Amino acid sequence: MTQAIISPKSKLWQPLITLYTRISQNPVVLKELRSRMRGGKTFWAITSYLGILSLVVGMIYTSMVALDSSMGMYSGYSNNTSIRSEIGSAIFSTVLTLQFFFVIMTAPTLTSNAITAERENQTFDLLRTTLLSAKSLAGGKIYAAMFFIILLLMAALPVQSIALLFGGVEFPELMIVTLVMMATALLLCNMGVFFSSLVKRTAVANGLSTGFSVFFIFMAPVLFSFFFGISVSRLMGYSNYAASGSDPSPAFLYLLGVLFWILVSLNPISALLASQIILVEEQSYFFAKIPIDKGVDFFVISPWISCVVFYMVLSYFVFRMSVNLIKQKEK
Amino acid sequence: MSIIIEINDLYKRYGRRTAVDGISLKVEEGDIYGFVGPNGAGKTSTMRIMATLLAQSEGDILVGGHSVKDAPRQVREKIGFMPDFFGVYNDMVVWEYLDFFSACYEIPREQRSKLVEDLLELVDLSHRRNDPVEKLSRGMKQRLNLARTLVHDPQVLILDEPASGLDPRARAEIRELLQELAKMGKTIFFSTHILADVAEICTRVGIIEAGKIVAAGTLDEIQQALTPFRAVQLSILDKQSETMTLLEKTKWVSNLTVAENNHSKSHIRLKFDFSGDDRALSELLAIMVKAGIPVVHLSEDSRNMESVFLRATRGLVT
Repeated sequence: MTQAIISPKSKLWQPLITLYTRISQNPVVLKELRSRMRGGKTFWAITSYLGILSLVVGMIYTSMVALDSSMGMYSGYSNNTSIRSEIGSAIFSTVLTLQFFFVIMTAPTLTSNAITAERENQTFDLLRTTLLSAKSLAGGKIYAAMFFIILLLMAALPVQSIALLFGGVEFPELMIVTLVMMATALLLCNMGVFFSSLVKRTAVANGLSTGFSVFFIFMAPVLFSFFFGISVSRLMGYSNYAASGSDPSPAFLYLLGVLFWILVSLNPISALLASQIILVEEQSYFFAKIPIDKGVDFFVISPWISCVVFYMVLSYFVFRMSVNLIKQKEK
Repeated sequence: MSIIIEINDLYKRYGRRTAVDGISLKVEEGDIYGFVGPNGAGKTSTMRIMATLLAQSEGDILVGGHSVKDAPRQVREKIGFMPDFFGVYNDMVVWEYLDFFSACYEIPREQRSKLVEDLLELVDLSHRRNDPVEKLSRGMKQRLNLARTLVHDPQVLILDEPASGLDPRARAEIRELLQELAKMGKTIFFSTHILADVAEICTRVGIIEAGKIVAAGTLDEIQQALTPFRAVQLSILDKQSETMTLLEKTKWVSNLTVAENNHSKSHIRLKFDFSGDDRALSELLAIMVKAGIPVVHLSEDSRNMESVFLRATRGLVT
């Protein structure tokens, strides 16, 4: 009977309803949000964050208008529509870069004390003797941290919307960047909880989480690119294509393409840059066509999609590991 | 009365050190069970295993018929655990603290507010409901912790040193609360160093040393097993020599001495060892009253529990 009254539409919303129920019934979420919002610390943090973003937007606008008027005065460069979209693009990319930086630095610190602080406050044992599962405990900490990240992103929307007003930026672009940012934040929050479950002290967990974020987001792409470049040039050298004068085989190029695509998808910054290039070159948000031989095209999904999927999957596994660590009884 | 806690051949080893060495005991429903022993005897390890926090090396504990090893969730439903430290969130106010733990025990939202009020009333903290937890005194924090253990109306309370570090008034309040809870039908299993508390409120006692139970049972049973006599104090107004003669004639009295009385100069205090049971003690009192001796006070020496403890233990630590 119950099944009969569930419409296809409500089935579509079921995962969201389940998620909402799970979050609203998780006591840790409310507790964490209450603690975070209590006092003036968070208010001042958000005010400073918005202040910095607004200041940067103001500086971009002023400098670009000044540049335009000086260029226009001497070279007739000034074109109202073009400068507007350029200002829009500049604001968009700068604000997003700043937001990304804030998210990368904030996400791990929001959760790196998730379990260690409970141990230090001597409340961990109390929680473990309740009916609260390890999954709900870890999940509650992550949901609360993600809500805070969403608050940071939402609070910056008025600043970000200035870019949309100027033009040169499409709404889907904003959505894509926000999705990638959320997926990155989710992974970093999960890493924070993982390190917090793994070690005993908050300072150590914080160091490990922040170190991981910096390495994973900024250093790993450089190292990967370096080793990828060396490997490709060696492979090319061994194949001796240059000497024989023949082109590399399509299969080899296909393999290189896949490897490169994976590499690009592993990092949010490179995934977003590559997606932007695909958008400009191919006018596509979702797919890219890469020609690898005469008449043979290699289709790939835009790296932002694979990046989001990859980060969600990785987050799930890190979450499972954290839950197992929390669940363990003292030995 | 049915058995609510059953410890069966329990072992806990930390590397080479054996903290709990094959203990077995049973606690009946409604008991106030005092778990007594020196530091390092294995009390906390046993209680943490019982609270599903620590993994045992061998053996098992059944709480309400559920194994701590195989059915920890069912055990958690039945117990309220208070460790020997104050686990409090300092950025919470008192009612939020209880509300949060009620939610952790899956108490429906609509029932929580009344529950919190009732619990605050029980532990006499209603007037502090909106105060930050960090502003509470040590005794109040302990009472709040006790209220926390009660949010899901557990059958068994496992309390590790509940009166430790409290001032005499706070100690008395906790003691009264425990008695009140026992009247409400809760089984209380608590560890303590304060032997006066054990003597006053416990229905049963287990003495543990070096991971082994060295004595268990009611206080009388343990006393009878460990000491052939009880230390008794008698206060009279006068007639010292007649009283002493009378006491020396009875078969139960030995080692009769006159004790110094620092509390009251008008009373004469006598101390003696008494080998009879409660009925015999009552009979002795009747004899003295009949003989016209002005008895003010006749009781067991409060330090008697101490002597039982000292006889039971040898100062061994694992």
